[in-house]
Amino acid sequence: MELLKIHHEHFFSKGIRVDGRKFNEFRDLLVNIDSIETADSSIVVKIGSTTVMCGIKVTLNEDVKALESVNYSDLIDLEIALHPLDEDKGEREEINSLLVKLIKGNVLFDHKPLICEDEDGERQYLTLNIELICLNNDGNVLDAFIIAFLGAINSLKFPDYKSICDENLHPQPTSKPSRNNAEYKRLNVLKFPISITAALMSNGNVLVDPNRDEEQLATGLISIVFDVATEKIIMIEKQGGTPMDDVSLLKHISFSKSMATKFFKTMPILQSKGEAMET
Amino acid sequence: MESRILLESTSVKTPFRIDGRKPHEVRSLTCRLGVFQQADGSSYVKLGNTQVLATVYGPHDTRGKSNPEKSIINCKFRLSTFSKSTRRNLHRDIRSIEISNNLTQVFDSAILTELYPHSQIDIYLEVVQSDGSDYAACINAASLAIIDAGIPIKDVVCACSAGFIDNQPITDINAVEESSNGTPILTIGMLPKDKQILSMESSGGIHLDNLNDVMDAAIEGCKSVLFIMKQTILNHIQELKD
Repeated sequence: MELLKIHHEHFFSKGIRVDGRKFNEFRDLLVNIDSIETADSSIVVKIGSTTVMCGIKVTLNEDVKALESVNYSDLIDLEIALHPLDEDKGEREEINSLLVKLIKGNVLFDHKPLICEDEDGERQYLTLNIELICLNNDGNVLDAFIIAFLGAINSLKFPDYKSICDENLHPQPTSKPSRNNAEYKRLNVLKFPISITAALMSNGNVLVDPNRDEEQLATGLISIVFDVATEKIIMIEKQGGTPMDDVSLLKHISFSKSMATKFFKTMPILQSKGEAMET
Repeated sequence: MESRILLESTSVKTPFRIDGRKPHEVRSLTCRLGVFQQADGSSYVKLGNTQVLATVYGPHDTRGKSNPEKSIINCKFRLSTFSKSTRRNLHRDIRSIEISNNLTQVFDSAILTELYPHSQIDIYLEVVQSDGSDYAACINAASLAIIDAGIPIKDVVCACSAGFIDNQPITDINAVEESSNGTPILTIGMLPKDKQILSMESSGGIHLDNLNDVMDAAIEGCKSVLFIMKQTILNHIQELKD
């Protein structure tokens, strides 16, 4: 650990990082949409070598029928697998609660298409079963998770209640859902959260998009989640004991904001679908 | 729901299966080694539409109990919720636990565990898309990941499944064949050089007279899987050399 610190600080004194990036530089982003046929929507996001995957399946929801009023958050079933392929447990476990707060606590998309009426006029509800999986943790998993979630919601296509119901009654054993004839519905995304995470080093440097080594060396991490559509801050999370004065914090926020807007524009998920693009 | 799984072709004498394969044909297999950097060894296996990721960590210090004679193998198998056409409930999945335990036993006997006393080797498997023969794909993926990690292993452990439909043994079952009524499924994991069977798991009823044919079909499948796996390993080593 001590050696690692000396090694990194040697680079920091020259104004660059160990992997050759500047302090305010992101790693390469790679997005691959709809790579899994069994899911209604799936996405693989790579930031450098950090790899996360998000899959969404739309199913019938019988549980919420008993409720008097059905809210946005009742129709989301979120599952986060932070360490399925990883031995390190307990590291950055708070990402879990942050994501639940962000996804369930904010109305990020219009959930009306999930509520349907059948022939008898009875209300039927659909649930989004969202699963976020971290395949390779090389730092900055939160940003990758949020991009993956946004991309998956954005490319989600699901048939209406009836064909999902039919599928439940007569399950098709094939891996591909036989939903070719049905008309697809899409969700209208209201907020576009983009998170920018930075590591605070003990000597005052702020490193955007830290990798795993830098995360371990850092005395604190600061994550700011912006809604790119309205340019408002959804969430600020600063961990660690490194004090930061208000001027540099504000400076960092305004820098992150411009970064998030720039970042969002380069993202392929809104422009073209079904192909991988590198930025 | 009556469905004919094996289709008779009019022009050729051999019957074709639902996805157009011949009875003894294995689905196309793609393997890759070293897909993740954080892990000591990792691999990706795509068997038809079944996709499996595997990582290996270790040998490292044990957490908790340690064995002074050999290393402990710890295997975790996980099916993602979106891997099948109907959503899976993760919390009551006994099959996952069963597969984890089976894999632990397979690699406990395949890895030269006595070389690493007081230590532990972790194998993590994640099925991202499932289209039948998950267990066989997992054994192949785990064995490739172990080789990528440089852990001494007796041989390339290869596995393949076989079944019996319409008086015909078939190799490498897909999800349609797996879920059709009463198909017996036999999965064999073996050490090909010693011709030793490490694991043999069967479900569904099968007549004793037909068992040998099905076993032969599975072993033939293992051989074709092994060919691809060996090629992948050699290519990977060649890349590392360059």
